[in-house]
Amino acid sequence: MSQVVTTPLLQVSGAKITYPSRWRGGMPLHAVDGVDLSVSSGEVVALVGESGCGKTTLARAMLGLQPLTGGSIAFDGSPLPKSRAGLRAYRRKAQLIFQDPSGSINPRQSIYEIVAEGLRIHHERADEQQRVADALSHCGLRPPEQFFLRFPHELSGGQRQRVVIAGAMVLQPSLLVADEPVSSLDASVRGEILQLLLGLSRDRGMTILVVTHDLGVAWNIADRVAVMYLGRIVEVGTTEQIMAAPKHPYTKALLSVVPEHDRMEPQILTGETPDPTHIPSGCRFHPRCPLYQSGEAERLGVAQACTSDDPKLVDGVACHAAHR
Amino acid sequence: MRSPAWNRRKQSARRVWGQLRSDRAAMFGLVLLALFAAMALSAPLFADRSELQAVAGRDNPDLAAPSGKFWLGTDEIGRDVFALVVWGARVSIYIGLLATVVAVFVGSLIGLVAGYAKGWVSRVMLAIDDFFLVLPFIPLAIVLALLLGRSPTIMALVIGGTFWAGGARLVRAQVLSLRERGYVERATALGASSRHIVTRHVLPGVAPLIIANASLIVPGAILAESTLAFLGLGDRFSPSWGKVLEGAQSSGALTLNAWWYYLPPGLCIIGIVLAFTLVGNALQRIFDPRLIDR
Amino acid sequence: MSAPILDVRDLHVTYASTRGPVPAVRGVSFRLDPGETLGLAGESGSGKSTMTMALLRLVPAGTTTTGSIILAGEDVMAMKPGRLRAVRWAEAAVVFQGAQHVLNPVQRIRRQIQEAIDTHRGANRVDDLLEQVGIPRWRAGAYPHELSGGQKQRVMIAMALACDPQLLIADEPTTALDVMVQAQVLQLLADLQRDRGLAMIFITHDLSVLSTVADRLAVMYAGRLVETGPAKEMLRGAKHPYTKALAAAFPTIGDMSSRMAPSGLAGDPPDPAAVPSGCTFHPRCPLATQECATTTVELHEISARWEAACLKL
Repeated sequence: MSQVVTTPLLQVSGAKITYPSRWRGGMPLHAVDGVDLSVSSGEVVALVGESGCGKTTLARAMLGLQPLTGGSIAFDGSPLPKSRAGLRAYRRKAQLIFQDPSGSINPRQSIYEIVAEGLRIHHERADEQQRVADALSHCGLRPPEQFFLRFPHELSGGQRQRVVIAGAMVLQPSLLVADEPVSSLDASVRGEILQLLLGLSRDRGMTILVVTHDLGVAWNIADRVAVMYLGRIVEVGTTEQIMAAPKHPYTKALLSVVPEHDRMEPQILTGETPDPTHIPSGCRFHPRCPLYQSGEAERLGVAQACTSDDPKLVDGVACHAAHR
Repeated sequence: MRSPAWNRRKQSARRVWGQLRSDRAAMFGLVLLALFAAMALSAPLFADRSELQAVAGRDNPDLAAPSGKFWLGTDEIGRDVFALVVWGARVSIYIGLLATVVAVFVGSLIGLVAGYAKGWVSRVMLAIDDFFLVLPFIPLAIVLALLLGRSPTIMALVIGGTFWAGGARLVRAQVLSLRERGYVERATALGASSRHIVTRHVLPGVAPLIIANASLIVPGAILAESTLAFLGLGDRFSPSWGKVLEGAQSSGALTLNAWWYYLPPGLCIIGIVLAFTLVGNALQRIFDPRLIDR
Repeated sequence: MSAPILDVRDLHVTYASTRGPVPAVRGVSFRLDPGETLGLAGESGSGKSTMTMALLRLVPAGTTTTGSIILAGEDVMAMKPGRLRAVRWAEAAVVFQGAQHVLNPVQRIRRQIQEAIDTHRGANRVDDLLEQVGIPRWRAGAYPHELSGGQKQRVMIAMALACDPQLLIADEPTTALDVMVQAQVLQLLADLQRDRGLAMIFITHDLSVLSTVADRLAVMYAGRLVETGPAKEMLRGAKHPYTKALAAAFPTIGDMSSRMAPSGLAGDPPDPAAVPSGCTFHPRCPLATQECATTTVELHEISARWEAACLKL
């Protein structure tokens, strides 16, 4: 059987997003510092990292909400449009779920209006009511008609998130980017929202990119995981690979401190993630890297490289020690 | 589907009315306003418009004290002061309302653009707004009135054309805040044009502010017109309350103690300004922008 | 067995609201021994924050609190205002949720910590406290906005320890933090507890965090305790269906049963103003039957020092 090579649905190449300093002589902020990532149609990819790593900025760039300062993003083979009309057409196919469900809906609009907004923006009036009902119903708000005239403040956090997802679904996009979809929700409600997202991928073949700091979310629904640190992807692979056999020291440390992850000795890193205005030279992780600090890197003979060369993403990992 | 939007507006209106009703001061103001409106509308019932003209050979006594025939006496050329006051209501209120409409329209538009647009457009709007904010209103109004004429409509346009700046500032501040809301970004992500965002999300957010602000501009406009009239502008033969006051002052009614001439228009001005201010303050409290997102 | 540092019996806390009285805590009893950590788990509306505020009578005016709260042998409900003020912070201190909003943005942290010390005429020094929480001395002159989330949380902990309390109440101390910073803060709390013999109440909705810090676990739902018991055993095999669901919400990585199978409950946590009848959990419970909707359930013993409130057990 010959192998069919399909173009990935989303292809990010060397993406860079740099914010100039707010005052003179200050250092620019490298929110995203050279990211390569490809997402194939129908898969669920988790973009994992701590706050400040640039994952949200990258996600917004994928939707055209944030311009790139370098590199490119291609959707379905063509680069992201820059014109207004082009972006509008693109936004029918790619949707974003924001982090806080309460903040991203207008409290003065009824649930019906919120979900129908996408249809109205794109002038798709045919069967509007039916499509809104279907979207709400598919997202677990049944019977949908009961929700038409309700307002956001009458719903719980979990229900609001469903409304947001329904609002994105109603346009039937091919790509859904979800930024921390369950972080602000109660624990017992998380499962259902994650099930909903997983269902969208399995039943409707939707491609989903989940941005999260919670590795458990990745374990629950992701096919592949990309780990970000300080604007760069440091490791990428299938969820099983990353969780069971991580190769990058940062990934290992992250996994080790997840509570209840008994298999690994907790490696609590010292200090905090450095400021994106002062990215360390060489491998950006080396000042906090347990391998470097413990002398293991020296023994492996890569310590020099760690301080001077920026490791490239090879075989799914960007680490000199792992490359040996 | 129109019904959810309609429903929501009905709910909002009902809520606002309920809050207003519980505010005693505001209700007092509303009653006063109703009285003044009645006065203005019923003017023809009390006196004929011709009473306001200066007619040679009028046999009315000049500056006569109130009597059975002339409830508020007469002015220095024998006109019935009661007629002047009652018809003056129309002029004062007309000028106040028209000036407000102009001020609110221009101010909201500029405030909207200044707040929503980015880059040089916004900066230019802001500069224009700054300019009009600090402009001394009286000299400008006098010059404009002398150039353009003295009819009530011109007066109203002149006042409105200078009073919009404060409201524009308020609108701009609110628009700036609304522009950053999460739901605006979501609308952008959905593919919305600026027009959609402004009409669906920004305008409904500033509308209450504009209404509250407008109700406070009206008394300001009425007072402004009174000031201008007092300085000599305005039409003697279709006088506003301010113009009647001016007549009282220039004819020496104060020294002659012709209280029936200067007291009624003065009290009317105070009364209507008070009424609008009471209602306006209540509306401002009800429409506090901090409560917009519940 | 030594006297408990905290003994709470039948605590009820009812808010006054425009819609009528809202019972946030509906009969909670538990005890905490010196040096022990109690993990209090619950979601929004469970009443956990209200309850901990009530322990130090920090509830808003108009709230009715009944029941008995004995802190270090003294009845908190009977304390005069002067004694209460002295107790707050010197006997029991609180690390609040969302540290960034609790710190005064226009005061340097040295001054804020000093304020806590001075209010109780304590003997500690700011620099020592900062060192104990892992913040270098030279940062004492910083303003809150110059610190990171993790550092602000450490400052909160330093403030809480300023008067050497015997009991530390930590309300969602790591909820807003990244997993690495969370690990650092948990490590710090564990070290401090060991060095000072502190008793701690750790409140969170993330059960997996409690596996590392708590000796005992108490799970709250709709104002009542639904399960209490030894932490490790409970997390390994919870008895109450709600506890099970809560534990499953944060999956164990590497556990294949949760791979591609997120587990959650239908519905939402109940509004304290409108609590379901009978067993309040029944609308969402996978094991619920007819009698669950009509019978109120109390905590009953399952095994040694392990209680659950479920008709099916």
